[in-house]
Amino acid sequence: MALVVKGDSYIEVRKYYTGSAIGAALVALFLQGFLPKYFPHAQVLQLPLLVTIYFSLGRRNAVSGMFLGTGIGLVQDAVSHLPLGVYGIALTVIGYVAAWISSRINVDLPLSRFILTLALYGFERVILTAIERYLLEQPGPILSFYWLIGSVLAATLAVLIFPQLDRLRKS
Amino acid sequence: MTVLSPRRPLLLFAAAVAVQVLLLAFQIRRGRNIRLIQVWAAEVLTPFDRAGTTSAGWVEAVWSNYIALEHSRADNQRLQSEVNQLRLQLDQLRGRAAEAGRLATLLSFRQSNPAMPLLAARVIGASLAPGSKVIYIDRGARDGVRQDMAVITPNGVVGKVQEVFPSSSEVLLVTDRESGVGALLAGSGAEGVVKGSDGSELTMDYVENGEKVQPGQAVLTSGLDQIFPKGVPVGTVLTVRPGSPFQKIELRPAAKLDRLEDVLIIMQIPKPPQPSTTEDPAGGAGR
Repeated sequence: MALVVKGDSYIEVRKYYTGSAIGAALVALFLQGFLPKYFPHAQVLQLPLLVTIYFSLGRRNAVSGMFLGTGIGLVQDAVSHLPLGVYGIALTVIGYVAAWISSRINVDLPLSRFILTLALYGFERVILTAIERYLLEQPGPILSFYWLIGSVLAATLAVLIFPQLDRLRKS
Repeated sequence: MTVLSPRRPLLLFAAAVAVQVLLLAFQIRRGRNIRLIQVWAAEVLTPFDRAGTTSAGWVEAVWSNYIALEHSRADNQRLQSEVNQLRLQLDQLRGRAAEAGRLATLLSFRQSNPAMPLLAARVIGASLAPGSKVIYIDRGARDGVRQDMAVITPNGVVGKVQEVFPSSSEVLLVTDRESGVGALLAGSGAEGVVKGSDGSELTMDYVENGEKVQPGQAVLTSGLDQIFPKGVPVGTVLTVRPGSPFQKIELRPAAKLDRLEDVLIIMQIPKPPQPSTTEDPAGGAGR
């Protein structure tokens, strides 16, 4: 744990073991591509998004969160056979916003994690839909019931796995 | 402990998003397989191109309509002056061409009458007295002009020399009331005397009522007045009315007396006319 000067106050910045974020991201990307083969609706969980949210909230560093989101998003684009940048842009924004939020509220509480994940999941859907509409010219609904259920499931999953990921922190 | 710069993350974030948007635009293709980034580039650059074209057109318009026309006023004045000079030259050339035409006609007439000694003269003026039908020519005594010499044009009789001065002469037109020309009707040969009138027409006297005269009939000189040679056109019959004891015949002069410029003076009657077997009422015609 370290203290960082932010304006006139100090905020707590958590440190993780080296390679923990990359490892977690690779696992999430693998599962995101693997699970739908057996459970087609598993894609709704958006595991790379959850990893991005977790490490951005924990590190509380906008630049770090942003680059983590960019990297995870571009890899997700590559494995999803999407144009590079679709998830890249979305997770870049999510990483930046999550880090920005984490410096202002307590993100260790399960309820705050649930609400933040729910909100950021919806925010990602808005970004993705905007990209699909205005860049890819593939109009679709911004939020559907399917994705609404997905956001709740993802937020619930976040509440469950974020404490497991906390073990990657340096004490 | 690390100190965060408040602006640096935001700039990096904006750059990361912008780079990825451009990356997407490079991959996405729109209609006719054109990359989206090309569409955007065209959208971005077109207003500048349009503005540049408009500006260039404006500059060109300013240049061509104002700056390049700096000397247009002087050029306009110079060209207007040239136009005026050329118009003057054109009028002069037209006058010379008309004069050449008249002189050619005179020459042709002269060549067709080789036995008749002719002297060309130019009309230099007319009498200012009202009702007087007199013109002045640029030939006089020094040129051999004598009183009562006939003056004609290729079209017909003009008049006769009334007064002779050293270098000019006065010609009494055939339309003057005091003028008289021995004449005969073409075709019938009926003789008479053509005189002037108050107007621009002529009258032919001493033609008996029994003679058949028709409008349009030509009237020629008879040569009996010893002034005009025989056969020169005098005029054309306009109207014919029976009179007592002679017909009243009105003629239109053969020569264009209202626009005389060049005339011919008959210096000598080539051959005296044959004496008529009948009494010649026009024998004493001419003053």
